[in-house]
Order: sequence, then C-alpha cells, then structure tokens
Amino acid sequence: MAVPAQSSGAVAVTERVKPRAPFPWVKLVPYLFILPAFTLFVVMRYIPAIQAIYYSFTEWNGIRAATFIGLENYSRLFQDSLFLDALKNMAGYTVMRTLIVVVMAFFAAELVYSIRSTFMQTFWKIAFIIPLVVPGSVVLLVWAFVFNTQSGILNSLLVAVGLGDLQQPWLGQSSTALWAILLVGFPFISSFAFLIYTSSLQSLPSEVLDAARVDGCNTLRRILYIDLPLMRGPIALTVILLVLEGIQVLTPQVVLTGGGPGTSTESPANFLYRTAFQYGKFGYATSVGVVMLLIGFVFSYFSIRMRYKGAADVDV
Amino acid sequence: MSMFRTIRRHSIPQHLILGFFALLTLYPFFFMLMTSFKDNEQFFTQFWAPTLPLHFENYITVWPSVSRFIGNSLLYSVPTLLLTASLSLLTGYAFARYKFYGREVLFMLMLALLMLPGILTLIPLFIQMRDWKWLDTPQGIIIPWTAFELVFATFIMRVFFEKLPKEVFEAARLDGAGELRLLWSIAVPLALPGLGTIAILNVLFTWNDLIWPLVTLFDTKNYPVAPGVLGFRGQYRTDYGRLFAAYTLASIPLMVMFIVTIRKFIQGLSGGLSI
Repeated sequence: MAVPAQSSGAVAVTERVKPRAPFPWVKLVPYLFILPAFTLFVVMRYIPAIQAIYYSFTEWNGIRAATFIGLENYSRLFQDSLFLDALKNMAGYTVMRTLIVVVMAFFAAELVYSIRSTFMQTFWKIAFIIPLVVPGSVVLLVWAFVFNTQSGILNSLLVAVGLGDLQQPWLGQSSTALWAILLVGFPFISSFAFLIYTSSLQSLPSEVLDAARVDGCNTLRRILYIDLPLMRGPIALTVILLVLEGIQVLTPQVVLTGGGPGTSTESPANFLYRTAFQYGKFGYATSVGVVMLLIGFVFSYFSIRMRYKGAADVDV
Repeated sequence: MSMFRTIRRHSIPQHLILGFFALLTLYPFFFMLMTSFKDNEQFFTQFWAPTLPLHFENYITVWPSVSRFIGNSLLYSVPTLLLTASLSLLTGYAFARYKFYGREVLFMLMLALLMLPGILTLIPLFIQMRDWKWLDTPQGIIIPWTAFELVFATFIMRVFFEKLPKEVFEAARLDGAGELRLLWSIAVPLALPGLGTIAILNVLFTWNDLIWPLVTLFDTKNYPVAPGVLGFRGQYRTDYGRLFAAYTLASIPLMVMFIVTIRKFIQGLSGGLSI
C-alpha cells in the first residue's frame, strides 16, 4: 500500500474548499476508496503469484514444509516427455485455433458489415451471440455429443449421407482427439472476436471509406488496404486474448478427454492440474505455471510491439 | 414480413453464407432443445427432427438437481457481482476523480494483474483457502472471484468516470457537498450504465468458471452450474431426453439475462475494443 506521506506535493482539487484545514484529511479519501480493492489484490493475486514463483524452486507436497531445490523442477520439466507433448499440443492448438477464429470471425464480420439494413445486421449479430451465453461446460457437453461414437451427431450425419464407413470414435482415438477439441465451436463465428470486429468495422472513419468509394475502390481492395490496416488494434487485441486462452487451455481436457487418449490432447494446464491435484506434487506443478506465465508474457510483449510497428491507425 | 422486405437483392449472397454459418453454429443447440422433449424411442427413430408428443416430464425429472445447481450459482454469483460492482465503483471513482500521490503507479500495478494467468495462482490460492478453512465454503468462491474480476471492472469504471463532465462534480463540491455525498448522490447514479457492462461481464465469467469451483468444492451438492452439469452424463447416461433437458435448463438463467440486457450488450461494445 502506498502511504500518502508526500501527498502535500500533489495538487488536490479540494484545496480550494477547505484552504485552512490543519491537516488535509480529505487527501486521504482516495486512498480510503482504493484500500479495499487493493487489499484484495495483494492477498488474492500478488501474494499467491509470488508464492507460485517461490514454490516452483521447491519440492513440496502441499502439506509438509517445502524444501528448496533450485532449478531442479525446471530441468526435470524439460526432460518430461509428457510435458513436452503437452507443449507441442498446446502450440498446435493455439496457433490453429487463433488463426481459424480470427479469419472466420473477420470474414463473417465483413459479411455483416456489407449488409445495408441495420435491422438485418442486428439480426445476424444476435444469431451469432446467442451461443455465447450458453454456459461453457454445456457447450462442451453438447459438442461431446456431436463427437459421440454411438448415435453422435457427426457419425449419424455420416451414415445419413451414405458415408457410414467414415464413422470414427472422434474423441476416443489419439489420431483425431486433438482435432475434435480444436473443432469445438465450429464454424467459430460465435466468438468475442466477432463481436469486436463487427462493432469496430462500424466505427471506422467514414471519410476514408467515402473517399475510397469515390476513387472506385472495390470491396476486396477496400478490405485489404483500408479495413485491415485500420483494424490492427482490434485484431491484435483478439489475437492476444485467443493466444493467452490457448496457452491456458484446460476446460476441454477436463470435460472431454482428460488429456488422453495417451498424451494426444494433454495440455500444460491439464498437466499442472493433474500433477498438483492427483499426484500432490505441488512444487513441480507450480513450475509449469511459471513457464506458462513466461510464454504468455513474451508473446504479449512481442505482439504489442508488432501491433505498433509501422501502424497506420495510431500516432506512435 | 418486414424482415424479408429489408433484404435487398444485392446482399442475397451475404445472407445465404451467413445463414449457412448460423445453421452450423446453432444446430447443436437446436438439437439439444429438440431432444430435451423426446423419450428414448423418439430419439432413436426420429433423430434429426422434432417429434410429438413433447415429453415435458423430462424437465420435471431433472428439475430438483438442476435447480440446486442454479441456486448455488446464484449464491456465489450475486454476492460476487455486488462486491465487484461496489468496489470497482469506489476504486474507479478514486482513480478518475482524485489526484493523489502514486496514482498512475498503483493503476499500472493493478493492470499488470491482467497479465497474470489464473492457472499460475491456482495452487498457492488453493493452499491459502485450505489454511483459512475456506474450502467448500461460499466465501472461498466469492472472494477469489471478486479479486479476479475486479481488475477489468475497475479499469472500465475509471474510463467511464473520466468521460463524465468534471463540472458536475465541481459544482456539487462548491455547494458544500462532502466526499461521501459526492460519491453517493452524484457518482453512483451516473455510473449505472458502466455498472451494466460490468454486470454482464461478471455474470458471464462467474457462471462459466469451471476449474476454481471444481478444485475448492468437495461436496458436489455445493457445485454451481458449470461443474454441476458434468455429473449428468453419468446420471442420465442412456436417457438422452433427460440429459438434454438438464443441459437446456442449466442454460436458461443466462439466456434470460441476455434477453433482458441485449440492448446494453450490443451498445456496450459499440465503437469496438482495441489496444
């Protein structure tokens, strides 16, 4: 917590009202207002984060005192084939999913944007927003049924169109399980990214768009040379959010596959979760969390730098 | 039909493509709703289409267990919402309307928390809850959720208060209004639209969070909706109608909230979000 020791140096707006107060109690007011929130931040966010970093250097079962073992957890982690598989799955999942979601959401947003009637624009927006309010675990369970081997939607569809030979236990075999998880939510338009893109497109500066139309710019060229450069901010934001989500991917594993079959859908977060809560290796598990923090941090840093490098839409 | 009159000829391809995407997006949920009214015989003979009679008794059967999870979700989500709303209002107001030593540093320290993955603090926070004997209690869910959601909510409130005209506050101050009175009779009423956005984001998060309740609640009777529905797969393994009735019922509260706030939902994002 900051102490208002030097606050007399700051210009308080309130000074005019009580110019001759012996001690400016009123200057304490903002600190009192932020105190409850910052108490929560310190106790529930900062201290646990620091503890996590400390525990990652220890051997600890969560019950007895932790013993300091230096970097041993980390060197073990990068020789652990299960963790390496998890990293590989996570990387593939994150890259593919981010790419598909951004492309599909942007494509659909441009389609909605190109419709002139506001009524129909809102109609399509609502159609794609509705699934966003279905609880995430219900969405996963419904998709579990899409991929179900016995009378699942996908297999039934294959039979119905005469391709019964192609039926698969989609989530039950290592060759298809990661793909199945990746395809949950197909065609990926119903997403936060779609919401952001539609509303950002609508607020693009109309002078630029009018000028382009007068110059005879066609739709494709407008999208490539005007919309995309001007949408760098929203696109960067959604890419960062999607990647950070991908790095931490855990709920599909918990609900659908448990990381299996074999190691085919294992993710670092699921590895952390199991290492801690199934095997009680709390020190080892926290080192996974620290690795994930670093990956996310490095990624965010470079993507924010890239977003502003030669950007056309902001003054840097 | 005003809807069809508004479709202009030049935009027919767009409508066709969007319609196809919407069909793919919504069909699984339509399937859930449709199957929730079937018995097993209807399910196996009429897989793709709705059938009569509608078996409302599926809903009656699953109501006791689903309503329990919904009740639990309300028990955790409503206090989290009230805490997050009031604390973010207080904190965002202080950051926007006062100049004080260390203001920007503290604000950056708070925003830095957005970079902190929840999974990193999962284990230390779990141990802390255990040592405080907060496992399997409502406060063990509510307080960490609030700490988590408060960062972005405060950010929204600060931006919101900074957009309000300064003069309103100055005038009241010159009239001799005290700090608390300023907060209560000027800031709070003006903050209501901002609080609406916070409420939507907050409920979406708390209703969906799966891992924290799964880790800290041992008794499945205390589960909120997100982990609660997972148990139905085992309970109604061979009874698809009931299974999907349970899923549908679990989705209704958020759907109702969405319909009530839909205008706000879309307006809140107007102008887009960017970095």
